Amino acid sequence: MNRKFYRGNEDLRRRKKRSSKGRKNPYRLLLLLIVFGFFVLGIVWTRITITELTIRIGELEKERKEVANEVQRLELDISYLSSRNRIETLARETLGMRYPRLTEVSTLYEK
Amino acid sequence: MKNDRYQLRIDKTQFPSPIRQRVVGWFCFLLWLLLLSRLAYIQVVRGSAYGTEAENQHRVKVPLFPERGKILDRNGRLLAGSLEVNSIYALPSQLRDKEKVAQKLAALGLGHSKKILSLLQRRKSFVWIRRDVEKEKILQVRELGFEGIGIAKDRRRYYPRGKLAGNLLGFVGEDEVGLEGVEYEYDDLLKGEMGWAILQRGARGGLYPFPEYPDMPPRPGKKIFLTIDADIQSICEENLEKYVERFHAKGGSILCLNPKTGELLAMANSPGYDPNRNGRGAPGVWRNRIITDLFEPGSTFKVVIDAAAVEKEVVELEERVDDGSGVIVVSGRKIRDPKKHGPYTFQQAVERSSNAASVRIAHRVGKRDIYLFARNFGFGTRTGINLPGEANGVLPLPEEWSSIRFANIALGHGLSGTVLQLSMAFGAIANDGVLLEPRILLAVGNADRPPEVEPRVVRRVISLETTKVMKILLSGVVERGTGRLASLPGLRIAGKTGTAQKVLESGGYSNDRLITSFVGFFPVENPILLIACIVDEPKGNPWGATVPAPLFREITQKIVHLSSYQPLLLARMK
Repeated sequence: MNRKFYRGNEDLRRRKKRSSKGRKNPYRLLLLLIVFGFFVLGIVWTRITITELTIRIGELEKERKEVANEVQRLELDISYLSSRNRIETLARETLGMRYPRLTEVSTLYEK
Repeated sequence: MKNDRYQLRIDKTQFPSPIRQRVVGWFCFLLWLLLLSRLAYIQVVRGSAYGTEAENQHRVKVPLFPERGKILDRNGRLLAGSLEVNSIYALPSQLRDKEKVAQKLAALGLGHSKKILSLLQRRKSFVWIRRDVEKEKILQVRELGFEGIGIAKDRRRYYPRGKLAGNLLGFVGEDEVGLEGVEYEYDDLLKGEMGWAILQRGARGGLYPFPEYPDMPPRPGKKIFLTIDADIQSICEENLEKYVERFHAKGGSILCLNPKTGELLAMANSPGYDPNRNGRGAPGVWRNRIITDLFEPGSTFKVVIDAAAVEKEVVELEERVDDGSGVIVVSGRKIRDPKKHGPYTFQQAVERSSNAASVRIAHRVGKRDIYLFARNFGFGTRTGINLPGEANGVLPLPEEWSSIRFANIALGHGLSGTVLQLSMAFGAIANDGVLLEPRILLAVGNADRPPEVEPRVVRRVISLETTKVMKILLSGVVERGTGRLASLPGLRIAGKTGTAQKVLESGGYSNDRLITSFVGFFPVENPILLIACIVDEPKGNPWGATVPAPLFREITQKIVHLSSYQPLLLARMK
């Protein structure tokens, strides 16, 4: 009986020891939760940043395409504006220029 | 006693109510098993199907259209390019009040209301209302918010110089597929390759690229450089239009090339068309008549007869080849020159383009050799130009030549060729007797300036000595003969006029429908340019000497003023 009691007392002591350890656990758990929470928030924040940046990249890509398209439009305008036909018409009509007549051209021959 | 109670409590903790807890335990276990099996079913059995379905909900695979390659002239000037434009379309079946929609769109300046209404009333599921619309108008259309009216990004081909080289460049269809001309011939190079991208669908339905998603960017079409010089092309077209109008001609063509390399510098056709314009006129106007249409060359073909005679040494320059009557009788039919003249030497006969003398000289050479020389000069076979629709030409076998047909062939009738074939034949004389392959494509790629090209030799046609004689003869044509109106002070030009009666559909030759031509090159000693001018059915005084010869001179005069050709010409003339 005494022996049994003694064993029971040992168990009680072990349980107490365990429960005293358990009393420290809530802080650890809280810390763990906070770390985990930050970790999760970090992941979410990263995802959000990636999404935001992706949208921004998409917008910039669209902008780049628009600028490239504008460049092409300007190239076409340059091609039209620099065409010989247009310049000659302007020279003739606005500045009164003309090609020289055959009689107005002197040819110099090398001796 | 106290200790006993405590002992009992410990026992209770160690051994809780067995039956109830076992039931709850089993229940939880079964529930867990059920959930696990459901999870396994969803993840393992149906996993891939659900995965695909979920992906489809937020991932969209979109095709990426490549940019069509640009077409540039030999100096890198843009002749054709593509733009992304905003276009307005309609889905007629979704529109309720079509008249109201047409009026509202017309009020925004998108066209006449009746025209828009007729588009909306078409029995089609999709119609373009207007393509390449300004941003302001696009916003206004969006504000209207009509169901069945939408805005789409669209690519459109532009030809910034309008009609310039329209028949050569051709055009593309609605989906930017080449349908005619260079656009058709080089479609494989110009079109590029389609790409694709997987995009993320946003909460508002917008599509965004996502770095982790795979994509394949489209491969843009290649830039191609043509051998064409936009300035020379413009000069040729402008002057051709002027002459066609002045002589009330049916049309005309001008081909300009470098006889030393075979590069085509200009291909002008009248009537031409503007590939930017919808409809682009009748299909007959689209074709590049310089390579597709056959004509009997008339007196310009006499250079083949003359070259054969010189090469075969059957005639001397100063030898008298004509009795002065200007008439020769072949199989009872008289072939005569336009007017009587004194006896001609061979040189005079060529300079005055004597028909009677040409027939006599052809007889000296013989049928077989005339045929072989014509064949070697490129008549009756394609030149090999990389453009669609090139015609072979007709050069009958000598066995089929009757006496009268042989006489006709000596005058450039009874056979046919294209302007390009005729020009390449003259090119062989200008190029010291070597026939070259014509080239229209200078380079492919992204270089700013194309590299120099090596000429592609077809064959030697005549000897160097013969070309020297031919150059003397042809420069005489311009200095003293029928091509006097093509001459330009300070520049030695060699050339030949031609006037050919057109073949009637009913058979025989027309007396008033003529094709006049002049082909010339300069400077004679070391030619850099060859120009062939053809005017179809001019009215008034329709001769090769009076219509295409002065046209040649006007073009040459303007070309020699071009800064890019002046130093080259001066260097060659020294």
